[in-house]
Amino acid sequence: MVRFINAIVWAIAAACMLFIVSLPINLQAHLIAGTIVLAIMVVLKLLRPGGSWRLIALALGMAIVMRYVYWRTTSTLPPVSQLENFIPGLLLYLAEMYSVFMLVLSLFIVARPLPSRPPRPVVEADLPHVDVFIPSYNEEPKLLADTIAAACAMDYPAERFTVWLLDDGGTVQKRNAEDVGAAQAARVRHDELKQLCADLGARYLTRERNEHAKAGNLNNGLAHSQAPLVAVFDADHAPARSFLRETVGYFAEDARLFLVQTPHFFLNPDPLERNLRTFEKMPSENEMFYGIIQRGLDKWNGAFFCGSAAVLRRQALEETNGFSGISITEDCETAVELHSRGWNSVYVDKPLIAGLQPATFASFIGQRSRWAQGMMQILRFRFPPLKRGLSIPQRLCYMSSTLFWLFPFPRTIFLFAPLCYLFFDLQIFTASGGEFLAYTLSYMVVNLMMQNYLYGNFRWPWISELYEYIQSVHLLPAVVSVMINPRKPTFRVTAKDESIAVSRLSELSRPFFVIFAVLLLGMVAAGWRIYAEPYKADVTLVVGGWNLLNLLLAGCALGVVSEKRERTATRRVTVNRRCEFGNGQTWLPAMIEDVSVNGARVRVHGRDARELAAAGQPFIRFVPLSGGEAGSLPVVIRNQETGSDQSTFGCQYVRSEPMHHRLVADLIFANADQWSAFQKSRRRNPGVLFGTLWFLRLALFQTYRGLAYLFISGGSAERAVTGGARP
Amino acid sequence: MTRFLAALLFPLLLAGAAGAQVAPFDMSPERPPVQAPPAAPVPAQPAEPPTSPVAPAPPPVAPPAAANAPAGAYRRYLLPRPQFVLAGEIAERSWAFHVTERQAQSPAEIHLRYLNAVVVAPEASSLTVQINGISVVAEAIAASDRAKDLIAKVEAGTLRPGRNEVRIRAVQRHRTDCTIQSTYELWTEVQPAGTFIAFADPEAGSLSGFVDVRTLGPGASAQPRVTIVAPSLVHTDNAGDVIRLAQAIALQSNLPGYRYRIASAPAAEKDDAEILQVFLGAAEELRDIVPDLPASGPFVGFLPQREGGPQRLLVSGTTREQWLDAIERVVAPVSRPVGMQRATLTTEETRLPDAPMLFGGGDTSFANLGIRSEQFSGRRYTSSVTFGMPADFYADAYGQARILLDAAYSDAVLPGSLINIYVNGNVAASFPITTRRGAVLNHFPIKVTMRHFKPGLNEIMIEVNLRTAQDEACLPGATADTTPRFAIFDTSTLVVPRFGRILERPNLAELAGTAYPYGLAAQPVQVATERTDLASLSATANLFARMALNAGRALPLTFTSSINALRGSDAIFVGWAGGLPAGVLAQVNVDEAAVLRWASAQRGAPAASGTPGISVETWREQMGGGLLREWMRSFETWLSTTFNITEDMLRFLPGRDTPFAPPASAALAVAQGLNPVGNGVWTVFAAPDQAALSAGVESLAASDLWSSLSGHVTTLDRSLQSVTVTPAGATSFHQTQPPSLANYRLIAANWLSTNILSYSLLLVVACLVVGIATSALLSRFGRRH
Repeated sequence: MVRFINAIVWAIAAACMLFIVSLPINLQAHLIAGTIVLAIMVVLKLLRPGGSWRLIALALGMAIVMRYVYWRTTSTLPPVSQLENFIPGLLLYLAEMYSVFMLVLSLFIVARPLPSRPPRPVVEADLPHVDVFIPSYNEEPKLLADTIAAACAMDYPAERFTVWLLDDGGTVQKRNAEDVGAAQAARVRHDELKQLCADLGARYLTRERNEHAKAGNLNNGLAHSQAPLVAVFDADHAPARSFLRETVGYFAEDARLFLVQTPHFFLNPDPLERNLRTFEKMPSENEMFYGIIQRGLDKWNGAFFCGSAAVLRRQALEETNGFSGISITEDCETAVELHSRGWNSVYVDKPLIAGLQPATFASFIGQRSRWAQGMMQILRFRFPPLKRGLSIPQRLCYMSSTLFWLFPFPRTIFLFAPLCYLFFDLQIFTASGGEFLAYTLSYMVVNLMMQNYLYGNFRWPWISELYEYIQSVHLLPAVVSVMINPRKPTFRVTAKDESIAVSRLSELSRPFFVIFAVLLLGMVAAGWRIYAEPYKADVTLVVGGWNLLNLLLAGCALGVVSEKRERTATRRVTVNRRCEFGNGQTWLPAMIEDVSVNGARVRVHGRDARELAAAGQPFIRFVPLSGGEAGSLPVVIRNQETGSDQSTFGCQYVRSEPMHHRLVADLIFANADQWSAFQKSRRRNPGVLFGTLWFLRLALFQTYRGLAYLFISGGSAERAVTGGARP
Repeated sequence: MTRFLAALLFPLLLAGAAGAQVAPFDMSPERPPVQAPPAAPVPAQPAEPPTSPVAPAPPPVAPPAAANAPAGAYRRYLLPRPQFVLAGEIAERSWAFHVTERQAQSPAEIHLRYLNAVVVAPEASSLTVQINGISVVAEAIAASDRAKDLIAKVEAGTLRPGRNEVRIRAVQRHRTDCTIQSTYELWTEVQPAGTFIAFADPEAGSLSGFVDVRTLGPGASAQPRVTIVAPSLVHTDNAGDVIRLAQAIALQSNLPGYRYRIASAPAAEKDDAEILQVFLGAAEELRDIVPDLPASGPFVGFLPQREGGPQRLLVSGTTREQWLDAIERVVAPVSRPVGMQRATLTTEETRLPDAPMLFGGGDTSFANLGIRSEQFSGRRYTSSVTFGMPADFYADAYGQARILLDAAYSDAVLPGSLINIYVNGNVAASFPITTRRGAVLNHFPIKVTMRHFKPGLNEIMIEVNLRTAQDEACLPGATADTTPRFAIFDTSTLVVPRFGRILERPNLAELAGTAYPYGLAAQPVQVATERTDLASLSATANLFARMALNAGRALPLTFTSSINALRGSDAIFVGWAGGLPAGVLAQVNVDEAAVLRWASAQRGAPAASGTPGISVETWREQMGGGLLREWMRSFETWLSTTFNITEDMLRFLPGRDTPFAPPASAALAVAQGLNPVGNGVWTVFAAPDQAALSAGVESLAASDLWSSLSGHVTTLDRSLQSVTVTPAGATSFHQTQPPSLANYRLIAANWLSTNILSYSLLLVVACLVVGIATSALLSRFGRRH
């Protein structure tokens, strides 16, 4: 009853607001009211009051957005009689309305994200049996070894969980392939992994044929196991020791729970972070999703399965005959299906696995294409907004998640709209300079502020736009193709363990330079117009400003596609852990300062550390957090700094035995709190103003860097040509 | 921005036109040196667009020495306005006039006297007159040194008994200059005193029934006078009936320019301006003053015209009842029943076509508004339309009308050309032509702000400034080129959306536009004036004649002297400062003490001492101020030029009015306020003395100044040439439409657009409530921990 009254009150208030917003007031009133609303939002943002104030600020922002929508709808569309203006004008209008619609959806989802859940302790005796699946297709055994070792080292009674390596790279089909070389490689892989599993205490499982890709592989795993819970880790997602204990408790609480999802934490930067050098200081792209959006989805029982780092209930999966495989994003599809059957999901906001993400721009785009196409397939085949069984909030949640991937269309339209005017003199937006200033500027500022309000700690200003832009160029054709031919896309595994040995331009960089050049021409056209057509300078200034914004984004993207050479593939995580350094006989007290997947930095106390290191095969020895006896890990010294009574060594692991993998996994993956601490160190909100200024600087520098790479690569190509011509 | 530019440009153009009468280099050496004649009736402001609400004084007219009309011929003067200037490269006026059957059959000549600017090139300029579509005059414009009289025969059959249409059109080109600015120097003034149709038939002047009032026309004088002689006024109380008759004459003639005088006996000396004498009363009362009174009555009709005298109309009967009945019989055909909505405002005697009433929510084609499709080869095309708005129009702050323009321009037209829209003389839209290579505009939308719309008659002028390379080069003879550059089509439409409709009180514009609220009165309008004072009565007659024209009906009225009887009704007060009942001025928020001082100041008594010029503002200005103030000021300027934002917009509610104190320079003050009960409107016409009252009301009612009445108080200055408007602060609303959410929404939009802080507050409060409600909702719906 209270809920009902509450809903009625809300509806009346919202209707009043809608009424006030849709009054056809004059420009002056909008400008002044907009300024006042903006000022209140700024004050609220600076004071950061919590609770209802956050929602009041968002309501204020929404009022300005709705006023913009009203104005845009009622007075800016070109007349239908001028088709050459009307059609692009309508497209631009639809693109803007899509953006507003997505804003409203995301407001609904993240209006009040659930706070982090407290852990659910479970009595030791009640811990359920778990099958841990690690599906693999073509990953290196070395990478798999770390993951399997970390999985096996999880803090959980050994008899209650089984780690399964589900190998799709060594299926009977692959081993008997027509291509003799490929068949031989598959056989070698099969045997090697089988041995590795045996050594590490995991079970190896493969199957006859590679049907239904990852979903088929997982279903094969389901068919060969029987524990009530199933944990899934991607081949490169090594779990922390606490993973199972942090997650299985929820299943005891709710019999209809099918999923506990945890965030994906990455040890390496994505291409944007690497090339723009923001990994250490700016929150990662996926943190917006895992830090806010999944929590928001969780409020509406809409957190969905992300393919890895999750625990699922076998009973639920059996209801749908395992994982769904119509789309190439089997994870989300499975979640939609189970949600619609009344199963619940839970999201645990704590990184419990650490993984790798695509390092090169090309594989990054490959991964995003899969996501975008998969989500389009879900939209096409499952159509969440009208799917029976989903609650209304869940429908909105899935709408947001799937429709999000249409962004390449509006992004492309925003990119080219100003050029319609600058190059072809089309009037696709009928407004005077003053109106544009009053309505569009206030809308844009409010939009930035709302985004900052919602995601400020997780996403800095303009970064979303940059990510969308760099993806749009290649995602647009992918999304169009899946729309035309929804069954065509097939599952492709994303390569994640590449490294960039030399600085170079990405193989996908060409369109970015072309677009940049076109936008630059647009600026020239704008300048010429201001000079030659002073009677419409106001409109030209506004459109030119818009084009300038696009140019800044495009310039920044040039930096993204200019791949910077990098020594280590993964970043170091500070651990500060005691150990001993020695050669098997002599041991010196030492401290492991930080670790990465490939090596560690060790500070050794004692004057003769250097001699010791030079003397023979050095080891580091430490007691694993998983318990047991101290183990020795052989290393190679890569570099060193020597002080008076202490030396610091940069070491690379030498992993020759399964035990070594366990030790490395224990070093890196044992303690999930390190990852949280690292993430926290980046979660800082620079604010709209400083964020914008920072982005401006970044964009200018990256434009320069991108152009420099182009010049160098052009030069080297030329050299190569002339070099080849020489006898 | 462009709007701002246009606003900036306009005064420049005016300034440029100020030197228009300097003769340019003359290219005809055989002619005597060009020299403006000393008495040349030069229009005071030829550069002003013809829409100017304040017409300059009619110039003194030299006696028509050159007019050699046949002796004894009857002249039907034609021009409906005392000031008749055809300005710009293209100008056209058309209107309707009536002639009697006898006149229509008489051989006739048309006489036209005009004077034009020296810069008008005769070889490329022409003046044409059409009557009923038949061309009667087609002349090169060549009368720059002195007024020229054109005489042309009106072929038999051209004139029709009853209604006729006349169209005067001037096409003018500059002698030497090809700039757009130079077109403001082009004007031809047609002079009323020399412009008439002369009927050879000596009996053409004999009129018969009351309907022939409409054939009187404007007369030779700039201030045609109608005298109503009612001997009975001396002893009986029938002033109301006399004023009903004045209204009937106004409605029958449909000309707003007549000045009415009420007398109890004919004037001793002859008045040249007098066009009509009306004798009203019982036969025996009139017998002494009308020697040729017909022997038997009742009688309503014209008496034979006397040599050199005005037409004489008799409204009489053997008894009082009979002549009162006669008045009602002449009123009835020209009045409309109350409560019947008008489709048009009847303006055809001054301007064709009748202005359609626009109530919003529809579109009106230019064909219906009187703009014809035409091609244009000059550099500044102008054309205008008129239409009527209802009295309860309430959308001046937010409203936007649209013109869907069907037009075309050739490839000679350069970008930077402008289409400007003026509403009632104010820039309302400015749309730049930006494409080269010409274009055909098909229902091209131009947004026109409704800020300057007002109740009653409105005028929209379309001005197209065409820049061409040819004009920039300006080779000799360039202006005479007749290659069309621009075409406008009558399929263009004016779209006035639904607008907020509610009456604001006080608002004199409603009175000026449609005589609201008195024009709708079914019961007699209460008038308080000194009935015995003929000057006050004449003023009232002028007032009602004008209101009758605006309302389209003759208003019933009664005179009251008891202010208590008027407390709960709509009433009009006409009086001089000392003669108004106590409390009336205070009720309409006019400072009574100041009015008394005003009256004494006019009589030459020393004005009550005040200390003008000392205010905080002036001190602040003198102090200058620091950098911050300077910065604030420049920001304010930027805001006001870019967005028209001024400080007074930043308000929650309209400010309380301080009582109005008439300035010493005012001859007449018109003030409006609510009546004490609050259910009606009191309008007060006050002047320092009787003479100023009758002169002031007469000038106001008989001229275009009437349409400038607006706001809370409007004062007419002592020259009787200009008005000053004091806008109403706090107003109350009076509902006219059935309650509907759609109308309330538009009313709210307009009110909130003028009280912007209230809108902001409302918006913020709504957001606050929505935010809190959402917060409550979120803690009850979905998961929570």
